[in-house]
Amino acid sequence: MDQFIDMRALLDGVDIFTVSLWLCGLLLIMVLIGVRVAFAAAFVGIVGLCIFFMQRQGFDRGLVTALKLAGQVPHSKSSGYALSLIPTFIVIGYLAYYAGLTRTLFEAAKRWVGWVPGGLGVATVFATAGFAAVSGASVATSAVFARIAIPEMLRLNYNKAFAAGVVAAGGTLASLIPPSAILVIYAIIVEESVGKLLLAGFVPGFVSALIYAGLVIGLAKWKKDLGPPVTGYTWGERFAALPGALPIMFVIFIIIFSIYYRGEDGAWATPTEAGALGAFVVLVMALWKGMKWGELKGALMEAAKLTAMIFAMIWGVLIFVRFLGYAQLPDVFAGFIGGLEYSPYLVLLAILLVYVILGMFMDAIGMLILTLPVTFPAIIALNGGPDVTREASAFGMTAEECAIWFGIIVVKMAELCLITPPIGLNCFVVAGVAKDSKLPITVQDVFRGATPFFAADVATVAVLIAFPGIVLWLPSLI
Amino acid sequence: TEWNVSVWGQRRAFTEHIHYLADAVSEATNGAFTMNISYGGLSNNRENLDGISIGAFEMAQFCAGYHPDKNRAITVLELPFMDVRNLDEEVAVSHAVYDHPAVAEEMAQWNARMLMTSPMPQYNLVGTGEPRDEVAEMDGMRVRATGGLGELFSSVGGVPTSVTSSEAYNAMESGVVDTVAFAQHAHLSFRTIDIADWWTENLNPGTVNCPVVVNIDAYEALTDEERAVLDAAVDDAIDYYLENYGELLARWDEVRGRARGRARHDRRGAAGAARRGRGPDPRRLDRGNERRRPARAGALRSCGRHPAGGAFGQLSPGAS
Amino acid sequence: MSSSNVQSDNSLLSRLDRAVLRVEAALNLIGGATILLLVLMAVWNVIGRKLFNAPVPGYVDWTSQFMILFAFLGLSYCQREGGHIRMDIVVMRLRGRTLWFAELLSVLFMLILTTGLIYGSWHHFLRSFDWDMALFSRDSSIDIGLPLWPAKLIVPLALSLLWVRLVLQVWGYARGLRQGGDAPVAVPLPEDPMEQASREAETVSGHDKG
Ligand code: NA
Ligand code: NA
Repeated sequence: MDQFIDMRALLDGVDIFTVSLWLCGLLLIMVLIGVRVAFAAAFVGIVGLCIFFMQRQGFDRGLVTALKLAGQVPHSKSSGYALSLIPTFIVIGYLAYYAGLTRTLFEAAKRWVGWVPGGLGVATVFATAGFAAVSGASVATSAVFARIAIPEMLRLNYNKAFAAGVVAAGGTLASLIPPSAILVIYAIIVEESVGKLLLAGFVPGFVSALIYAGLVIGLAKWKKDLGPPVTGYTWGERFAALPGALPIMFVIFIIIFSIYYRGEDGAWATPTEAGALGAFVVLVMALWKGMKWGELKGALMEAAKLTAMIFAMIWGVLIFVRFLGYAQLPDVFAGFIGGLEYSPYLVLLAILLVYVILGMFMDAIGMLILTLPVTFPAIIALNGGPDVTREASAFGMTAEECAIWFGIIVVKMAELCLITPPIGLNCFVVAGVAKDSKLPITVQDVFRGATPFFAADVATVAVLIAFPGIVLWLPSLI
Repeated sequence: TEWNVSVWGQRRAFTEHIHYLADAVSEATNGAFTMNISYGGLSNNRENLDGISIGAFEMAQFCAGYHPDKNRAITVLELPFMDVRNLDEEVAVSHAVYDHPAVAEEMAQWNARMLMTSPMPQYNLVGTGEPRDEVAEMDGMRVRATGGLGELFSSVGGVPTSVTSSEAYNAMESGVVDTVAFAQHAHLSFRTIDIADWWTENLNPGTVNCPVVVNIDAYEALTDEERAVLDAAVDDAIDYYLENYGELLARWDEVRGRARGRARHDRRGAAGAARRGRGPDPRRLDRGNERRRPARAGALRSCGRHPAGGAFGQLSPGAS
Repeated sequence: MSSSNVQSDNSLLSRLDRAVLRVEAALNLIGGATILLLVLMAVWNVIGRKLFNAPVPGYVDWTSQFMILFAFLGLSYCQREGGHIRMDIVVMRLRGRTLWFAELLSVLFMLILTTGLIYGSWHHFLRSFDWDMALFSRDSSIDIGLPLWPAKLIVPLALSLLWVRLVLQVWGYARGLRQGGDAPVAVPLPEDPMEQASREAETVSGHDKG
């Protein structure tokens, strides 16, 4: 019993807030040396809880309390209804591929917009944007289009770095345009309406696609060797390509119809249910196209593995967040940010800059889950607190609007990290898929090709900050 | 002594008595006994009893209906048609039940001790379309109501429809459900009242019962003085709560007045509007074919005293 | 399906690895099937509500219960395949014994954590379970009162399987540390980004159609 009393004496006078800062440092080190992020976060969280409760209850009781408390989190946080969408969005991406939705979409886009400068690049942008409306995951979207769009571009002597870059960047649209797993995760962490966030991504997603397309056209005009337009399609051929894109239109129609059509008896489905309806339609299409049992099983195995990974991230990080709740770190940080004398836009910019730097090294979902518990309350405090009126707020919006607006911006930032070196998952995947094509494409090539799109994304974020209406208009309608 | 207190959501009328209690206790002990009130930072709302049981925090609020099997005894307070007519009665009734040994024993299994209630008025329906002011009109009505409340509506042909409370606004606005059952403060905060064509005022279908509990070990570890201060602060805290909730109900009347005006002008003709704002009378559900009595605005706040005995002799578990 | 990056031979460790893998893969597939099940339930809920005014009773409650299956049944399989996210910027640069030491340290952290979580989540289950109650239930869902203990029991069970997997990996990396070399059996070998990407690409390398 003696050493337990010593333990209390040892920890006595240790300020739990200071401990939380040290533990944030420890977490960083563990993540750096390659401990799986979910488990590093949970480990550090439990250590923190142990210190907190050992101070109050002594060694053995404190340990038991901390473990029991942490042991609630995995079940409790994994059974939140809104998270049920995540695997649906993952599986839909795999199924859409087997339903043959990607190649036909690209073909139609090529015939309709291929005539502009850099035509195949523009077609790729619009095809990925269209596919984004059924796929919820960026990396999968890039992988799928790398197989379809890159060989075609190389055949027409497009610059290989450019061809790879446009596919890597186009894939990021999948997370802004609903459905989107990452937007759901954001909504869960900040306790905001999932439906509103998904709606909010729509317009910015298309604005982002337009900016990409404009960039491609500008680049193609400036550097003549980038790639030729694809001309010579007759209107007949253009319309003939449309039926191929119909299935995807149908899925989008089903989703929008079921949420917005009001018959005698009200709408068909809630936004959450509409996501599942879309997945069901794509599943039927995939089976209709002759998807084999082996392929379905493969898709399910992959989707289940990814799902387990994402949920582990969620509960692992939330164990850490539970400790932060005891240490009151987010409150203190929010108070600090809210009390700053600088312009709120400057502070926002500083926070976004941190995301750019983190994003160079981290995975998108991991980065968001790790940082939001601290940055989100800070942003709300910066805007003027949870009860602020539009007039009194820093950004001219209510707290709820601020949550939605910041969500779209921060998801766009997280998507940025998929195309920035040294760790940019989309670029790795594109290089991996393209290694079989006739010209070898290295990871460096892809990063080089994606650089202009990084600039375009910065422009998009600037536009979203300057004109919050782009984000807030659609959700304000419901 | 420093206590951690776990509640959820945001600071609102429903948690004001806890803030009052924290201030009162700290003041009376010159800061020797303080409480940190945390909104969701320490626990999920459905796991506050678990947290008390493992000693993760010293005080917490929870609602019986969130997990009936955890607290079968007090679910009796959520039964429909109890004729608890105002918050004063709700307090008296709740505390009478909390004092019952069966309740104390069940709470002790969670290492918890009842401190006070967080009285909520009876739930009411708000809905879209034609007012459902006869029991027969509830046939086929899609209603967002959980647990025992849902069962109650299904017993008259209603269709309990499963949507989360955060989806309730959207579900009602889009017609996925016709009606939503909440207490007034929730209708206000989830904004269901903003899109309602009609609402009930005295339906009396039951409510949720949400006690505040303390960890038994922590309570016993208090000094005699601290414990006395805490116990003494409860009545004042409840009084403060009632006063504050009264203001909220005034706001409810105001918002409802706006909605009524809007409904009259924007939606349908004056003929339809004439019936708006009248709910089914509980007596109709309760006692058969007595004539429907027009509901009075402010009925929820009427202060008639009601004997709070009798009905609590038998504690039947499983209201839901 | 992605080919995994785990070496095998005839050693006891490798045979155990493959035996456990069979269990993990089967559970992972059940997790995947649950995703489809929930999609079907959502469709049933919408159709039932719209056409027959008969939604699935307690749809949200049922969904929350089943979510635990896809959240946890793939947990250990994901670890076997090296699928949990990490930053490999440092690990990528290590070779041989240094690498196996870093990996060993990493899985030891995970093993300690998992042991603690098994204890904690088991007690979370115990608090919801009572032999003397109807359906053994001492905690139930908000709408239709489903007992919560079956879902809560899944968590310590899944963590226990992960625990077994981690013990095998501790063994594997310790063997790598002792024997040296570039490719110990029964552990996921670190891949450079290109290998990783080409495996990712294989997941969509079925037949191109349409
Ligand atoms: Na998408
Ligand atoms: Na990056």
